[in-house]
Amino acid sequence: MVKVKVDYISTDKKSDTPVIVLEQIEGDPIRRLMIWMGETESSAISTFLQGESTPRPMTHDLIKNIVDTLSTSVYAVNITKVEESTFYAKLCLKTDTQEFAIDSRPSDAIAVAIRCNAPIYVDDDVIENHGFLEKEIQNG
Amino acid sequence: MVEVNIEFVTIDRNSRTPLVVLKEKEGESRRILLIWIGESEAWAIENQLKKLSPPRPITHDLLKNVIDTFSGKVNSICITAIEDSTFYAEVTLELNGKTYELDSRPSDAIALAVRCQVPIYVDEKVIEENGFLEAEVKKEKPTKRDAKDVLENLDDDIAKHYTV
Repeated sequence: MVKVKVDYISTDKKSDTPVIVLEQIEGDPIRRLMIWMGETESSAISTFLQGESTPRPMTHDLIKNIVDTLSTSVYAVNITKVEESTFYAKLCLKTDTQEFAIDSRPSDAIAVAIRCNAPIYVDDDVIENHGFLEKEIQNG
Repeated sequence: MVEVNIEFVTIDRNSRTPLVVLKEKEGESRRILLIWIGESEAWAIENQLKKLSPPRPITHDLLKNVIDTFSGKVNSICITAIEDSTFYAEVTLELNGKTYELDSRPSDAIALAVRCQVPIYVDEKVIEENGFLEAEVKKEKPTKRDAKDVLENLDDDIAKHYTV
């Protein structure tokens, strides 16, 4: 597992779909990973990262509020695998005594993770097979 | 509080915004309440009403899965207030014998309610002031201009399609 952070969110002009770029925090070389996602989820992530507050709680705010109410905490998000071009993630929660990993789309898991200050990890195989280096892009 | 059913989810052609049509569950003259919502929330409600299962859990499925994982229980949701044309809702969540009321947008609360199969309530004052009767619209004496516009602009096919 490698720890990553949200580098930026953009729109893939070809498919007109929002894309999130995750960047490895530690290690050498530093690889990046791109994950395509829905507009609502992308907006849920960018709104929070830009420090904007919405007048009413958005869906991922409600999830965080429910997590808080349930006396549990989100301790990590793991991007676990890719199957048929679909990325899979787990939202990892724990109580004082137990840990749970809930199946999730990466977009939802990341939108919740950033609200809970939880780290984001990517499975080694996933970043190995789907990550890229900046110079690879520059070299075409 | 009065219990309501979801009549259908459709698109308001004037504003091009999805809306959910709620109707009082019991009583002789059942009032209707319209609430405009976001596209993804409308989709989340419809998906569940039509019992479609998307290949991956969508946001409101995740919400329910989190609650289920910790043995929480959603008891009901309620549309509690309207301020500056914005509807407010609460999700009533039970955990270890304690009850919690969580502030929510109506759309999220409804998307959760249909997944948990729990009742949807509307505060009496909210439905009194913002609800209307179908008959009032037909007689062209609507209590709410918006409601008349919407119902007149509903695509019958769409309405039929989404009737639950």
